[in-house]
Amino acid sequence: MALVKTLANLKSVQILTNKLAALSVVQQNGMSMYPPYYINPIFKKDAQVELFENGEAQKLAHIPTKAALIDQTCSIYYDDDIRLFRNYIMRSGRKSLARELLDKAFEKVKRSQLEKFHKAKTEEDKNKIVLDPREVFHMAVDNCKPVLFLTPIKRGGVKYQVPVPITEKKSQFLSMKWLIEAATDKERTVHFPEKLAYELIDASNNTGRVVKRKQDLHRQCEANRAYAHYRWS
Amino acid sequence: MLRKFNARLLQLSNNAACTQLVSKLPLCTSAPIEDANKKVVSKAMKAYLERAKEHDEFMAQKNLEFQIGKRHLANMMGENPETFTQEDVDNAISYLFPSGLFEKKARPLMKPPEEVFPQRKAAEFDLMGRPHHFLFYTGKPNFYKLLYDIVERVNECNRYEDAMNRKSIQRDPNLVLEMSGYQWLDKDALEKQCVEGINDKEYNNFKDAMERLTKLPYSYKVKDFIMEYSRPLMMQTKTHDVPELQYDKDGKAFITTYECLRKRARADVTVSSPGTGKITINGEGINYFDDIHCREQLLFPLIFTNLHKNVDVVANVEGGGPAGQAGAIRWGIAWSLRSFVDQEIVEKMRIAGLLTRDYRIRERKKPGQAGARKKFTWKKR
Amino acid sequence: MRTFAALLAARGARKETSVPYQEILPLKLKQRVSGKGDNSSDVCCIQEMSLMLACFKLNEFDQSLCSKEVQNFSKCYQGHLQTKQKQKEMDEKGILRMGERNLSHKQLNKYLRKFPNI
Repeated sequence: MALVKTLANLKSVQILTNKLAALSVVQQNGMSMYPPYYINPIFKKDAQVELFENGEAQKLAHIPTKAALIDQTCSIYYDDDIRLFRNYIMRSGRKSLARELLDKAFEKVKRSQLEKFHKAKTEEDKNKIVLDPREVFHMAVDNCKPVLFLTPIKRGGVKYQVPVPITEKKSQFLSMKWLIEAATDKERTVHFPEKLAYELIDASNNTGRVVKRKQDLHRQCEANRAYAHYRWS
Repeated sequence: MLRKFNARLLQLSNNAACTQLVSKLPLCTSAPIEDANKKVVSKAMKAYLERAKEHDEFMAQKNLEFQIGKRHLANMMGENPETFTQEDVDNAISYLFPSGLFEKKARPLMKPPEEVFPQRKAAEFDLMGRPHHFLFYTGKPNFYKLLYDIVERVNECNRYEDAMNRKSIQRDPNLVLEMSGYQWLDKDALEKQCVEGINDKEYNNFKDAMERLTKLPYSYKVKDFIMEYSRPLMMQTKTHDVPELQYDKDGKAFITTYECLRKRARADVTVSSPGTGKITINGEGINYFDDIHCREQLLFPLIFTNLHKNVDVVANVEGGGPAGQAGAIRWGIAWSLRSFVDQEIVEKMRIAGLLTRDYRIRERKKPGQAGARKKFTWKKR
Repeated sequence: MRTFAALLAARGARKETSVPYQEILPLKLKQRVSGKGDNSSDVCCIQEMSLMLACFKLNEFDQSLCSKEVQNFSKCYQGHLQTKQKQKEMDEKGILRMGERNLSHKQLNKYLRKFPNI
């Protein structure tokens, strides 16, 4: 006796869909215009070469990608950290202004480093000076990264400042934020790019206000180290 | 009364012990027993037969109506009713009842009744009311049988692995079941296949079980079974055809992409080869854009494909701001360049997110709020 | 008035034995545990942290002189984050493994379903 009537020729090629995700009431990807199974674009050339070498690209053949953002390119002048820093500088969506300011700051860095380079007498001194403003920027951000920070935790009605280890991402954010704050806090006659250039150079030499701010934070952490075990999730 | 009694006795008579009892009873005559023998049907079966008859009649009625309707429609459209196909019916319906409804299911349709009314299961029990299927009392025998089958396959694979280990034979690393290009049967299709309603949790159970099976080292042994419940996915690059190159009177190859959209901007982009990397936007050069990042965006697809010195770009763009215009032209260039490069680079461009149309637009301001998301400062009174 | 009522109540006070015992709820534990008090302590790398801070204090908070300690500390924290992540994933799936000590509520519930207490 026939038990089941099955539909024949159900087999057909289909495009990737995520029906269950669409059905669920709460969307997992917030208000994004893209469906949740879209992946982020891999637009840098060297990253793509790696992708094709280790065979990961084969797996992506069936998954749609999001469009590359308007500030992402595969050009050699592109740098992820600098893009991030530029977006942190940006106020009320004026991206071109932010870019202009940062480019000016980099120009300033280059000029003052070149000046130092030409003033330096010995070969040894000349070699010590970093001329690439991007490298200066990376050194500055690295030097300003804190390794600990303080978080207020309430125990028995008293708030304690407890030193807590910090994630890589957050420490990078703090470092960049401090650099920008230091550059914004200036006299009226000095412009932002100029000040930022000085701060970058100072920080890359492990001196200056931002590095001091980091050390102050570490000092506070040291003072409060007795509370370190107060931490819980 | 006597008949009823006999009928009940007959139900018992499956047991060998009872048959003797029947024959010994003086009241029973042979004739009514034979009569009852034909008519003993369980209540469930009776109800089923009734329902089935009703359903068949209903379907026959609907089928007749459909055939008549189809002939009418063919006459209305002035075509031969004998050769009027389902495709013609669909076209006629969308012509006669044009609908602007977004939901496709809500639009008027005319389909054969077998497609419109859900399929029904045939009888799952015999005349005595005894089910055929060993999982009948789960309520969803076909679905649970499927899970049962999956576990059988898992055990089979495990047994095979054990045997291989005992013989100390290494698995051939090339024989791996690659499932990245496949998707599990979706819930609706599985429901249709099982002819049973399945809830989300059960569907997830099915997917988990299948995934467990495919992860086993020797899962390629049961490839046929796994393939039965998975569907191949389309290659993303093949979702759109690459257009053929066109040639102008100088023999220059070119492709024009119309309607390149981004935000509020709209552009028509023509890419031609051979060229020198000249970019013309609304009659101006790349200086049309003041901002560097907009210029960078224009160059992105050209640099990516290493064609920035070999092709010329002419774009007409209107609407929107500089970023939107640059984005529109970028997409237009990338979309046109597909014809100039080979399949591999098209795939690379797709992974780089150059071939995806950016549908993100400005979110509207909401009443009672300061902006799209921003709220007014909260005041108690 | 109140004292009078109290006196009456005292006179009519019943003996303990005269109250019949009733089993309103079954006298056994439930077959499941709730996941409420499941958040574990986040304290980690205290040893490394104190070593690093001591080094900082010694060297006037010059980080470059304590690179070894800093590296140790960050490595420890990374490891902690990774194990936490792994634990979370495992907990969500509720997979039972042999010889595991700290069980999540999902794992416990699975065990209780398998081996219910009488």
